[in-house]
Amino acid sequence: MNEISKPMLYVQQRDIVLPGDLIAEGKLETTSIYVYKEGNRYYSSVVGMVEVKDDKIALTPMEHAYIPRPNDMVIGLITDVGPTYWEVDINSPYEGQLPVGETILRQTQATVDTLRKFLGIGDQVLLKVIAFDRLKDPVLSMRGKGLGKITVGKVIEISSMTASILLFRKRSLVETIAKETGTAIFVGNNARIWISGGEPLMEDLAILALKKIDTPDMSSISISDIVDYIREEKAKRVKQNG
Amino acid sequence: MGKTGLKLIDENGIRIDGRKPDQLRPISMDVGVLKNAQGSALVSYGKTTVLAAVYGPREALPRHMTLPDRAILRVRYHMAPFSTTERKSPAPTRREVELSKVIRESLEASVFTELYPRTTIDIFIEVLQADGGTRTTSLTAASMALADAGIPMKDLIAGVAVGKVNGKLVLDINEAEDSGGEADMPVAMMPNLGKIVLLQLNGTLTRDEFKEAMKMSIKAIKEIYLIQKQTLRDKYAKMTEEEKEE
Repeated sequence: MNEISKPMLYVQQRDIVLPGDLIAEGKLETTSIYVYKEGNRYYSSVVGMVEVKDDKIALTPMEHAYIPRPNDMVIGLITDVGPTYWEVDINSPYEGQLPVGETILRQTQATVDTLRKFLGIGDQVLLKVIAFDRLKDPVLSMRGKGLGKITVGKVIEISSMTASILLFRKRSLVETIAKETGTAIFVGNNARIWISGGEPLMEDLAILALKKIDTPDMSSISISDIVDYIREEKAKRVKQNG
Repeated sequence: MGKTGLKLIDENGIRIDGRKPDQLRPISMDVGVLKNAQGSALVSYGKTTVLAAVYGPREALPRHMTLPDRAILRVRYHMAPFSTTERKSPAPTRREVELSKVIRESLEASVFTELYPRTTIDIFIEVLQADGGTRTTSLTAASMALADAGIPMKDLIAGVAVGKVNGKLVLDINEAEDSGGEADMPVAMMPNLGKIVLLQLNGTLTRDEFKEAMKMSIKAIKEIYLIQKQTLRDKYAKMTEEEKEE
């Protein structure tokens, strides 16, 4: 009985698959939306890397568009101020909306002027997605610990694949970079990273290290590699600055 | 003799450009050639060179064009003024509008548009040099650009044109064979799934010739498909190597 229900896998751990590649046959457990089924065969729909774990398949695409989900933490850029809300670019096909009611501003005070004073076009903000159902644009919130306008540090954008690996599998890499450079690093679900808290030089070093791991081959970069890299670059820069 | 009275195949069965009847032109492909596009590809079948760029999924403007349950595909097939021997006016011609539609419908068979409702995926196809078979080259390039952009799709699409020249079936026809030949049949497929997404026929073929032409094109499409896959894989392998050299 077990023999029949076991899927036949055509891929190995860390294989790169392309659209149309056969992944498995039989009954397969997968949560990836990038795996599609035709009859009892499972195919990949993107260029990505497969991870096999006890007959379960996870597929990390090399590139993908960010689709908001409730409770995601995102770093947004204010693009427009409306009468009772802000339009926020969240690095996604869908533009986010931040209603006044989801900020510390009182709704009775809301005029375009007060809204503009509170958050202007071009401001970067750390927000949480509270609702998104594909029929309406994602609704964002500023109510919560740590959420709000970003006033210090730097924000960078990395590839979507690196972001999902840093978020879900290799948190230790981020922690190491933060520790080595004495900065605070926040990785948003929408592939934007906020680096803050250190001296400008240290922040730049953290960005350099993050860019260094932002390659398709990042799984082969070890923590000691990145520590060595930061120390090396640090020494170079300290020497230059006399 | 062809329509124009030109002799396009010699006594030994060798074609005007020195190929055998069932031989493809040299094919070259590259992906990720444009930095600002989400995905891009440059594909050449012999002298025919096509550049494809994909932007999106992104917010569609004007908004009323969007669909509530899926993304729309917008395809613009365009020939550069310098792509032909005589200057082509840059304004879109009837032919270009029609080819944009044909290519869009072929791509729609493969792309999972339902994953991105209310958005648009824009595909720009620019023919840089035209020497026959531009629509199939364009489809090959567009599907690679889509894969490079990370847009989910059932399979890559590869295409090739089969023609009838001097009463003989020939693969991957060039401009001279297209204008001087008796028939031209572009075919595009999703090779891994074995599904045909584009089939047009200009001219006449007998039933047997049609069957033979299909056989030839399917064989060639499989060859092109292998190059497509290798090119996409190489992009990631190459980036890894560069990283190591630094």
